[in-house]
Amino acid sequence: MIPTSRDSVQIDFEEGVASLRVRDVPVTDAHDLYNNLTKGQGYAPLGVPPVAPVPAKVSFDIEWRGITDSAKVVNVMQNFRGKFVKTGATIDWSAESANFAFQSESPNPARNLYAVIGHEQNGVFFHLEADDE
Amino acid sequence: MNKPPVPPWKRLLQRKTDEHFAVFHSGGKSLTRRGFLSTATGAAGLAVASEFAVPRLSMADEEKGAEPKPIPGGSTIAGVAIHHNPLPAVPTALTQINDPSEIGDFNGMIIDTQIRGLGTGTGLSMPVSFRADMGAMQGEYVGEDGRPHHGSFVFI
Repeated sequence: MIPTSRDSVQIDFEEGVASLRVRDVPVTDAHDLYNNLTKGQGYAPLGVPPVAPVPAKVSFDIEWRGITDSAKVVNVMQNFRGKFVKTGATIDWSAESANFAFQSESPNPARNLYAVIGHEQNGVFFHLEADDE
Repeated sequence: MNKPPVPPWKRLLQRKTDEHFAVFHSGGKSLTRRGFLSTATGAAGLAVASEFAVPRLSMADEEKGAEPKPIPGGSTIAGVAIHHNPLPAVPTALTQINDPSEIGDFNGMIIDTQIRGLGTGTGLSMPVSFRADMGAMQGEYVGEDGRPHHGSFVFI
């Protein structure tokens, strides 16, 4: 989780439209998820070899658009509640390190699996309301 | 003696004002601060995985916020606790989603997506597939310092 500027996140909940735009975020390229989690030590149970992380930069342009569903969610077990809309989404991202560059295909709405925009409260902000079922 | 009628909006305003002062101006005494330890590592499902160097971007318009607390739940991969609930990759009712926020003690907006695609890279003879689990949170939170803050965060 990385702090970002307020301007990089634009959300219009009522319209079901949002965007996330970040440029040249410094990260470490650990090659794969397991090397990232183990800080480059690999993961022997799955035969993932160690790969030393290298400095990289990533840029993302993600857009949420088109409400397909909406719901109030109240989850006492997880201590959160909120109003959510399910939407379509597209992504355009790129990455660059000293010896590698990656560019995603053009934004394609058909690639979205699940996307939401929500206004939620959890933890100390979680509360039940009279009309909660 | 009858009290004068109070418009519903005024009661709501008073309640919200009371809640705000209870949370933000009580010196943290009314907060129930969870004491869980965090090995806070965000999920990263891309070819490029972000470690938590916590780079500061252009934050001139943001307060210098404290580290947010992670949500208590999540999953464990390779023995590492990940305080994150990925959105479903298969059709699932919206009411059945897990808490999409990575920040605990949070009140604000969340955007989240589970998305896939193709891309090209240096030395690759043909497009390769990727899946991204990304989003952002923007709003108020009670930080690791036990104090209220506002901020914007992206998870990669």
